[in-house]
Amino acid sequence: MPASLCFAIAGPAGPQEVAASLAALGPVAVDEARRVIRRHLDTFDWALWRSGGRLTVERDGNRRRLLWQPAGDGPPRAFRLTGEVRFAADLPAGTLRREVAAAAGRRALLPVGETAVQRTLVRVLDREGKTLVRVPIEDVQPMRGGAPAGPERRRLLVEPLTGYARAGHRAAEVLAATLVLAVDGGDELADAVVAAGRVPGDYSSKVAVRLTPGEPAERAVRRVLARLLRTLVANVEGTVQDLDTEFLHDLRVATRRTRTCLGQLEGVLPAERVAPFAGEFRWLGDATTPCRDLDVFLLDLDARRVSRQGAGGAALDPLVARLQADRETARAELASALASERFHALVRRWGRLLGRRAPGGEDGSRPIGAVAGERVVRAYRRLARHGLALGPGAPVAAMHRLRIDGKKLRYLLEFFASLWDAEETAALVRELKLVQDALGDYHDAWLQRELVVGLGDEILAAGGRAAALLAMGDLAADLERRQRARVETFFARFETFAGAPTRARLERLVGHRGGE
Amino acid sequence: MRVVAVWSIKGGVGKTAAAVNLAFFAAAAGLRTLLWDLDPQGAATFYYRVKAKVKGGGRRLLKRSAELQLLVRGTDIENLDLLPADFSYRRLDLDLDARKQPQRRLALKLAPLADEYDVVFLDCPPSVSLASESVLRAADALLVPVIPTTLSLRGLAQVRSFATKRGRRDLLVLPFLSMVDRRKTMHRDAIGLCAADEGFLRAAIPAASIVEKMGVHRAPLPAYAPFSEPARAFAALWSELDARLFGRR
Repeated sequence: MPASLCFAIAGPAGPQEVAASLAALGPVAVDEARRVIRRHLDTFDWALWRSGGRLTVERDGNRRRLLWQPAGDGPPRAFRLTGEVRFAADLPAGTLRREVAAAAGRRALLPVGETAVQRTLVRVLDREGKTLVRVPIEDVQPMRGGAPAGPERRRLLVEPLTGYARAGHRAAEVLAATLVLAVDGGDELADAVVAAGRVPGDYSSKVAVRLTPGEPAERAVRRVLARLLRTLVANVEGTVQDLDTEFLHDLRVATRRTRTCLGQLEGVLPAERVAPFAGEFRWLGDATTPCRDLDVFLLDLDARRVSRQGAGGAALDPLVARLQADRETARAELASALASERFHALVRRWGRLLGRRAPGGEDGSRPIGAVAGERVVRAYRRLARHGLALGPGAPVAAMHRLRIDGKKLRYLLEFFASLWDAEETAALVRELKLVQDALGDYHDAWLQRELVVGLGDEILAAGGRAAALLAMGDLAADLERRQRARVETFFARFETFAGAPTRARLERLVGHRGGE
Repeated sequence: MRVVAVWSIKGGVGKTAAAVNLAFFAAAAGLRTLLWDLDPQGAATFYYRVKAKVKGGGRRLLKRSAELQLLVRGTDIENLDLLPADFSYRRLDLDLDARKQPQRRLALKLAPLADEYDVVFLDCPPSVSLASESVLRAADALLVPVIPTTLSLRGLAQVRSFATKRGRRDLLVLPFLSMVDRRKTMHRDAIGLCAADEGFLRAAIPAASIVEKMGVHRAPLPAYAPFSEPARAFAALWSELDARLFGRR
């Protein structure tokens, strides 16, 4: 794919002037001007924008097409669009779906801004009438609610077709010599997003608060908690509207992180003021559990269907339908919890508390560097102690508690990552994540197997056929195998993570040594 | 990347019309599509207004060091590129014979394009030769246009036998009816025979002068007669082929 060039046109030059300039190269065609509306799509966490890609739905009368510009400087690729696009999986199979899915994953593709574009295509042809270079001239107007918002910009693109790069260079040279052009540093997506009241990259689920080691712990922790509250609130609407499963995931993680922060950093904030919130965040966390567990199960079943190329998929339809119905009930209950006065009061009062400076607890005035190091080492030691006391036959409940211990350590490392060496912190989080993944997968497999076994009678009573029950039996057996395999993986990984060298690395990183 | 060879032992059965129009529909559906014109007559190249010239000809193109990507030309249709024909392809068999592993040569040449394209159409000349074997080894699917006559159906049996012996084990052989004239009794009878053959794709391309006008317009049929009966038939043929190549989309 040859590189395309983008110029801003200074002065009044339009399609006729551009065509007149290009006529020096040979035959030129000027296509009829079209007014198109472009709706720019991205995930809520800007996954496409971060990857350098741009995805746009262009509407020209009744005709719609999808424009995909992967990272790089090639011209956008166009695709005919018939149905609605909500997820990468809705895109036509092929490179487009692969590339968008690689960036967006399972997140919904949401409109993030709109532009109205007056577009005239000038084409440089050869003697056979074949197009060699496309030169679209575009007047780009950012829109908000169907009305112009922000300044209109005129730009000109030089897009040579594959195999005709030389003609593209000649076209660019001729245009630069005859018109007043400047290399266009503008960004249509950014203009559209700003007009819609957002900024590209304005959301990330990462904690990313820059702290300094000498900062009083009370202030640092309040900043971390305020950031978590923003993340939590940002995900409420997407969760209630059920735009994709990751809104609930991020909301749940922000809640869990908040609870970890309150529990693990005891003594930093005034105990009597934060104590009433612990129960409220537990309530919120519990409200998210049923829906999230079912999301995970349904996503796993979908992945299983894809990996088996649909084999045996239909037999599981009754189970999937039942899980989807249960999920809908759980989602409705969660939505009503998020609409309740209890939730709004929690957000309001918590925000007010975090916004005000107040005397901290006994550790509130100590430097965060020291407090964070101490708490991380404590969390690590607890995890190591609990984990080393367990073996492959450990009860599920004990393994689940260990998983929570691991999460607490991971969250602490992430809250305070800016205090320590970035590379080493990331390496330790990665190692911990491997341990956590095995534990998480073990627990999910157990939970899902319990659900499948428990639903057998109900599926039968609801008129389920033998094929459905056999497929559920297969699934339950697979889940049991997965559970056994993952527990082995966990213990193999945990032995290294809980060992003396990792402990020494962690203590060195955070500048705190725990006792024996 | 899926490779579709449009091939028949017989000439004048609608191979190029199928390759040119199916490539159009694949590109319009959003697939990154390459049409490789292997026929020295260069009709597909002509229809897309590209110069039928490959620097160094077939002999150079088959060299391991020759990059196919440098020879690709963009067409006026978005997402559709073309590897032009060259008159030297009339000696493709001899050029292949001079290379090591001639049967695998086209597959080897296409391998580096796997990340660039979703689907490649090979518009093959009518013959049974070393080049045909190389095509069969490169292809995931063999699309065979069949005029509904007794002789053509006999030819299909030969194609199937050759493809089974020389093609890949997982090669899809997909015949379809081409240049159908329902006014002819023989065509109607043969259509009945083909309907009973489960291997046939269901879409049938009618014989129509508007298809021949691709040479006048120098464009694929849907570009100048999108609502014509043959254009709709090619669209239906593409839908079937799409489902066979990519499954659920």
